Amino acid sequence: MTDGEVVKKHRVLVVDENSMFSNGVQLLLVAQKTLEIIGTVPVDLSLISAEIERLHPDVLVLNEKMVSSQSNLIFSLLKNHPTLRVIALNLEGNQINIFDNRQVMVKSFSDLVSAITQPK
Amino acid sequence: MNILLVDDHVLFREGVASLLDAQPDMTILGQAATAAEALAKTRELLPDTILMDIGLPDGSGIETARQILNEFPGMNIVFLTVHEEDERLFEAIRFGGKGYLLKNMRTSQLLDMLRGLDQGEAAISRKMASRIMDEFSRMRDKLDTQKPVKSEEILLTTRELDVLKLAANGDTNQDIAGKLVISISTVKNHMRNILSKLHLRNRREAVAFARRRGLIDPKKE
Repeated sequence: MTDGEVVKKHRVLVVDENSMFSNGVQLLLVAQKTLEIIGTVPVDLSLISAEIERLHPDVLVLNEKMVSSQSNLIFSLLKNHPTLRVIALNLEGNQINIFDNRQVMVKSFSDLVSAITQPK
Repeated sequence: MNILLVDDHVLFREGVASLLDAQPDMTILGQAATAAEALAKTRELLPDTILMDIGLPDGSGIETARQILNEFPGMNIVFLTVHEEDERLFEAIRFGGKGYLLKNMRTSQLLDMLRGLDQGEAAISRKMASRIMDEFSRMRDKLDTQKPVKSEEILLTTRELDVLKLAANGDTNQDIAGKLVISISTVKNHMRNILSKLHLRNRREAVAFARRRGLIDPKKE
């Protein structure tokens, strides 16, 4: 990187269920220089949609459980915000789902960072 | 509180490690992803508390805990699970676990419960406690009057039972503290918990309870 070159940070919105899992992952994400946590939003569909409209994040991170119970939300978010990447974390295993339909296995925290920063 | 965190779920383990390490009274001594690693790191790092996932890729967290507690009987082991219906709850408690927590619990609850371990409290949610009480009631019904009922003891942690046995054998708080390598105030906390759980008024009643239940070494009576 040359002097004065600005590195674009990936703007991340986190759905915060206030659990030790989501709080822990948030702490790890905050420490990443390539990411900017632009906000957190509680598990509430209308609030999530409103925050995406307001903040225009690059990535939305949420719990997999929400995807299975609210799959319509994910489809409508991706439809209305084609540049948005939705990443669903799974409490039960080392698997994260990335909507645009990719799935990766996590061997280290850096795999989550890569999932967020990889071009779509 | 010096903690070893054992879980093969990378994001969960590293995230919780960051959370706990940010607390002024908690230090993450190390992390392990397998049962073998958990045993090795326990021996190397000697944590006072281990947060242990119930299911590990190379074995059960409960069996690993049993091995650890054989070598280090004073260690606090708190199990972590995803499902509150987990049938292993009772097995975990039988093997001397000091707690059983859900991985999706609130951070503030986790911190409160871990801090409670220092006061001799079990790290267990109300829902889990309620399941234990239900199981206890079922056992009491089953046992009926055929045999002397020892079910009250199930309410006590392994360490509380140790304290009760020593008290019943005539040891003072100072003796007990020396034998179990804990402080006198911790012994007092354990005794308070014993009285409260068994609905007894004083140490003399606790000793009488232990005699009735056959907890005292007969040679010492």
